Amino acid sequence: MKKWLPVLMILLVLSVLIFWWTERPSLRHTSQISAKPVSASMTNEPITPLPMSIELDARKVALGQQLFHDAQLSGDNSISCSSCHSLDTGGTDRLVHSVGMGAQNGSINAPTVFNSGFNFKQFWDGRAATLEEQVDEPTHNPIEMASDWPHIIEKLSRSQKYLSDFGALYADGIQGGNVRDAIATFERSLITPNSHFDKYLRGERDALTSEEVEGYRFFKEYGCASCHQGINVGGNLFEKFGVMGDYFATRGSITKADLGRFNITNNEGDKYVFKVPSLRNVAITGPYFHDGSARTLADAVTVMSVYQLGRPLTATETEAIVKFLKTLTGEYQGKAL
Amino acid sequence: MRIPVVTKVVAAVGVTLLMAFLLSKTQSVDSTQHNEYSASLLRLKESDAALDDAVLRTRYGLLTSYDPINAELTDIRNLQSRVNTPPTYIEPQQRAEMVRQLEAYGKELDHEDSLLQQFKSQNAVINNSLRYFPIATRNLVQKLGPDLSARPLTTNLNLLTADVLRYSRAPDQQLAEEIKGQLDTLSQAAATQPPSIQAELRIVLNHANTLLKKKPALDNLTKEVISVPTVEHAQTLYNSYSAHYDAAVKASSTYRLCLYVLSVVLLCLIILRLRNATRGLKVAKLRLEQEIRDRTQANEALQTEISDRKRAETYIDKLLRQNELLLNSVSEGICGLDLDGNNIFINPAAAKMVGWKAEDLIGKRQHVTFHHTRADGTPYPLDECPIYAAFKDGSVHHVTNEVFWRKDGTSFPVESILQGEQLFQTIPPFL
Repeated sequence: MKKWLPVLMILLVLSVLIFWWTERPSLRHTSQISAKPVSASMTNEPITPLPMSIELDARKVALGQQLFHDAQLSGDNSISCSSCHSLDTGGTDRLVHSVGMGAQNGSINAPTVFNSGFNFKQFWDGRAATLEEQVDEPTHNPIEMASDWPHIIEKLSRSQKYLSDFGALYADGIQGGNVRDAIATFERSLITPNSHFDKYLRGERDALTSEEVEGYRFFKEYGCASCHQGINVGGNLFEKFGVMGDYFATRGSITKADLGRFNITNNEGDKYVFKVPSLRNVAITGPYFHDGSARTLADAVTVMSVYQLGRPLTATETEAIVKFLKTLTGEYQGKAL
Repeated sequence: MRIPVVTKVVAAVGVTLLMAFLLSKTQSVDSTQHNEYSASLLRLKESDAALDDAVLRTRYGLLTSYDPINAELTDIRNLQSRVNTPPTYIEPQQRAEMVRQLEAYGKELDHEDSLLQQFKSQNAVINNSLRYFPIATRNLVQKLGPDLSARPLTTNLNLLTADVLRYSRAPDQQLAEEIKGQLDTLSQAAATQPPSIQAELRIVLNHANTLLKKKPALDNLTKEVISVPTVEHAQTLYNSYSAHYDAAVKASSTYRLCLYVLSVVLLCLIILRLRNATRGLKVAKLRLEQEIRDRTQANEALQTEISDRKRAETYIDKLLRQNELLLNSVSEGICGLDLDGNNIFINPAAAKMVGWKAEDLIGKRQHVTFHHTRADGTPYPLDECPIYAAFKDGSVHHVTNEVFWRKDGTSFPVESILQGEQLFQTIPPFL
């Protein structure tokens, strides 16, 4: 028994100490992560300027960039994300419909990847809530990249660089979720601040010409800003294509893609409903609409004014609005797009 | 009280395990986790309220973009995913209840989400028409001009503008009927107008119709969004979590109390054991000291005795040496006899008298060696020997008229004096 005494004593002292330690009330409370305030000298405008920079894990951005440009993500190693979302051509392919693996024709126009982190949902029909969710769709779509995670992981795992890069960032190495995370992080880094219009919003009055300012006035007054507002000049709500007129009846030959959000929700009210696209960098991301039917900005503005606003625009007004839209082209990594 | 070692070991292990169990139970409520979880629940409620607020402000044109609504909704979705798994320290049954409540909340939130998407779309449409409708009618009226023939149409258009705007402020059923009537009249009138006027009139009617139909729908939608009971669900969740958390804390406090009691009992036991052990040690020490004292005393007595004996032995040795010197130096013959009459001692004088060597005589019967024959030459039987007879009573005898025979066969008369139990026979020198 005497041998046990010190052991018991130590146990006792230890337990008392542990209580002392753990019973002290923890004063730490979760604090809300506050968003960086955007400095805009013009207040109560429907559009807010983009932040000049965004805080992200630089290593993930670098890895995501590599993956974004890696054709191994497609079934036959022929196309990468950048095939349809080239950063050199405004983050899109400038085609009516994108072209997938084996030169298969896609059914929809590729939206730009720039500023996609500011969109409230991804895809024209908003079927992905986050950029991470979005990654799964093109990689797995048989007419796009036509691959799957086991194949992608297997191919990426052959690269020593990927093995070490993933190993350094993720405990479980090369996994679908981590590929998603890296690509989405890279895509969030694709912001295009410092457009002429953002400068104007930040107080540089002479950043826009008087014609461009006039175009912005039309843009607001004629109702464009009812939908194209917020930090991304759109990309934050759904709207029916053809509110004030039947666009699809005029255009004809309705496809599945034309049904829009209906394909996701099966609600009759969601037929022809799409995510309102962002108008940032719109001047360099044509052709326009989900069907790529508008070749020029003027075409697009005209169609919108008829079917969305329900009002005719004069050629002058259209021209002014187009001029304004051209001021929405920003800079990527300090260089004008 | 003797307890076997095995029992002690089992008891010690048992107590340790019990303490570990109690300790783990008291640790189960993670205060950091609790802070985060309850803060998330509270924020969920606040964000729900903030979302309703953003919806109303958007509706009344105080917010010029839909970003605030989306930001609140994203916030709520993030919070929802954070609270979706109740903490582990909540009892399983209560966890199941919370999971049910969370599911109910999730359902309401999904409903609110889809209503919000509709709200944004409808609001955008209404805002557009509301802004453009008065401008469109004014443009048309100006185009028609002050011509008398156009007067009925312009009057109707002005009336329509006033009514539609009134309706947009406060929709009511009666006004709606009136506007419907005006719209019918105007669309009939359109047929008689030139194409350019017709087209513009159609645009005006289109917007008026949009406002007439969609305004009440938007109002209902707004009402519906506001009244989705997400805030109430969030409150229920918070209440139920708080109650379960309190229960968990209470349970952990009970375990803590048990642990404290056990610790105190153990401490007492240890103190008692220590005291007993010290007391036992003291008694043992006293006993040992007593024993040492006793042994020291006994040792001392023994030492005294040994030295006494040594002294006595020395004295005896001295006496013996004196005796021997004395016996060897006297001219009188002296023999020592045992009770059987054997010579055990013969001094040199006596040996010389009988002509034997002293060592040849030791152990032999005196009567046989030199008293075997009478003075007249006849054998002398042992049972007639007066010397031998003298042994029996132990008193001093004086024996006279006896002869002792030398080794060479000559004899000489002796007069011996016998005395003591071990007989000393003194033979006066033969003169």
